Amino acid sequence: MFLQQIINGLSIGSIYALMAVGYSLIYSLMNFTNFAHGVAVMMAAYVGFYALTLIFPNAVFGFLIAVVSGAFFSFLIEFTTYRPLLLKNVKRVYLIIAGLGVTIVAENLIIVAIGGRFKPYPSTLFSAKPIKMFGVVIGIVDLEIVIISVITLIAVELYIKYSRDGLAIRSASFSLDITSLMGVNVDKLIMTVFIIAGLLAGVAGYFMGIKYTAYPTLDQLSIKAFISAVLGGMGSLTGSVVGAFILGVSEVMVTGYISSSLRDVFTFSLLVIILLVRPTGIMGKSSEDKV
Amino acid sequence: MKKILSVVVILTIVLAVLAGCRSSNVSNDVIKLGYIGPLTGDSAPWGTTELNTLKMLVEQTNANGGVLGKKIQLFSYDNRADNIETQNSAKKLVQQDKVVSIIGTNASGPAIALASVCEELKVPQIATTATNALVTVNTDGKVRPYTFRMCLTDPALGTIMAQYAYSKLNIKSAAILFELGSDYSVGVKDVFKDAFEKIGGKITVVEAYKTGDVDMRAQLSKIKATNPQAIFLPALYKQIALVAKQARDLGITSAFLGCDTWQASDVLLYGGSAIEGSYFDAAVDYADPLLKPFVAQYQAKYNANVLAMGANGVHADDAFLIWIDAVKRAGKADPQAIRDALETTKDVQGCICKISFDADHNAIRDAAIQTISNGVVKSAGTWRISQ
Repeated sequence: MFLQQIINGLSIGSIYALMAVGYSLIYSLMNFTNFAHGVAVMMAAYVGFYALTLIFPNAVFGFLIAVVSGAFFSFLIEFTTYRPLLLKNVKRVYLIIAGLGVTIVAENLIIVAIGGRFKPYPSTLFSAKPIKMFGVVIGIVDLEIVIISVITLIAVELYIKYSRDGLAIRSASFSLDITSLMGVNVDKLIMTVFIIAGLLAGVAGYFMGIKYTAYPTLDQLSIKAFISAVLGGMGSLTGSVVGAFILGVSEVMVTGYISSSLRDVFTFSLLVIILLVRPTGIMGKSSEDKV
Repeated sequence: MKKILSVVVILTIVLAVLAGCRSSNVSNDVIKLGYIGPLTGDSAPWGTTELNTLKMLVEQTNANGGVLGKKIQLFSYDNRADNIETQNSAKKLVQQDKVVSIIGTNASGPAIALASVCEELKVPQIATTATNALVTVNTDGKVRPYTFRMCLTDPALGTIMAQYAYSKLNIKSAAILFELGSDYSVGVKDVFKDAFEKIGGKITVVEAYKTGDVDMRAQLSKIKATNPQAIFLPALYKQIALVAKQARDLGITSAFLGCDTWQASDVLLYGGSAIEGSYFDAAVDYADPLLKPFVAQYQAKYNANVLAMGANGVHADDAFLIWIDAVKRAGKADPQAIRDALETTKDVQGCICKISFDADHNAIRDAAIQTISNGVVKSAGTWRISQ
């Protein structure tokens, strides 16, 4: 059972990781938490569902559409909500409140427009028999999630390390103002980061749709991803991935060996302890670096 | 001018008194029955189904000569599913319309509100689909003398499933997976566990998930390690589908057991092959052939499906049949006599089965056991609670 629980934990952790990187990216650039990130995830899950049921029942097609839609919704949130506020040069806390507002609006819009019932992805597309070895069962979708998450996360890491935009993003994460003085178009840069975060949200949304169906409050799972990002260190991409796996595995272990009712008590206590011992998270950069 | 006005006032009073006399005179050759339920607002479909059923039955009974040689007169009030409205309606029914009994309401909240008025005014009430324990029993555990109910309560369904699984399905060990934070799920989990252990079954493990959780594989892996014959899952359709699929993916082959929340058609739609071979119980099997005449009658009169909104029509029918029987046995249209007769109701034929009342005024009736086989819900017979 122990090995099975580890597998369960890694599978949950990989979903958290995809979302956590989105939080971390935007935080590292703009020093605020985009609480509307979950909305892009939830919308992508719905788009994936409709792409598969209404347009073309092909898993790869659905994946691509969902990923693009995740990027689109992330861009839309930035363009309609954050940009007007940024132009007014408001305090960061207003951006956070606006993000929470977007979440509430989006959840309720979905309830009004589509309804509160959950929408399961067509099971015929994802009914591959799980792999069994060493007494452990590994779901095909779980395996796909881990592989695609790893590929996507490496791609993002490489992009940020080696591309011109990546260089700009990294410098902007030290100082947005100075980067702007160096001749970088900061508006475009912010948009790029939101689109990258949105692509990851799209991947997460599609896989969550397969595993957990599409429903209006799907975005609330992203709060766990936010905790992962804090745990691993806000602003550090590798850190948030590590944080996500730690959170996923520890949740499963608490449920499996202690008690399911204590799961959240335990994980939030873990968060508090880590923040007390290492306020920057496991792999986070000290925030003084940015000033 | 003043003179004319005072004449008008006096005339009005005289007319009102006369009108009052007339209505009280009429009450001698009719038996008055009241109905309270939601007839407008979100809950209207349920209330309307019940009232339509009662109207149909009253018409039929009157056409056949009524009861005790008298015609039945039905009074109905809309409570808009509101507690205060329910109490006002009840007072109007008893004090103004002089009904001898009240049928309704369907929701537990208003039914409890109605019970307090009926106890005070000493008029018997038969609730239709109110499942909360406190409808027929006070908070101190004492039965409310004037309040009865037709449906099976949630605890009763949990107990029945435990007894059926052990005795009929030969399931000797079961695990439970329930929802923390859902009163329904926690309550049913407790009675299932007690009932199953009482008759000798073994509960291997009790696991829980939180409202809103979507990944239950950690709990299911733990359940799998205890190797139960069945998993009792008192959940709503979404969790049923997710849990069942995740369980099958983990290689769990145990059958699932559930209660009436499994009756939702979405369970079948979303659960797919993962819920094949599951058993659940409910107060009414909507495909029961015994329901056909009733459904056809209602369809002919109202051009609507009486079962479209659930068991409300069936329980309104039950309530009426039980009430008529009680009036006949009481021999007079007197609230106290009818109450006494209701209390001794034993094996009276309802809409689909014989009904009695237990000491807590809950209906003792057959539960419909259903199973999912080849992707469709099939009847697996009935089961009556054995104390």
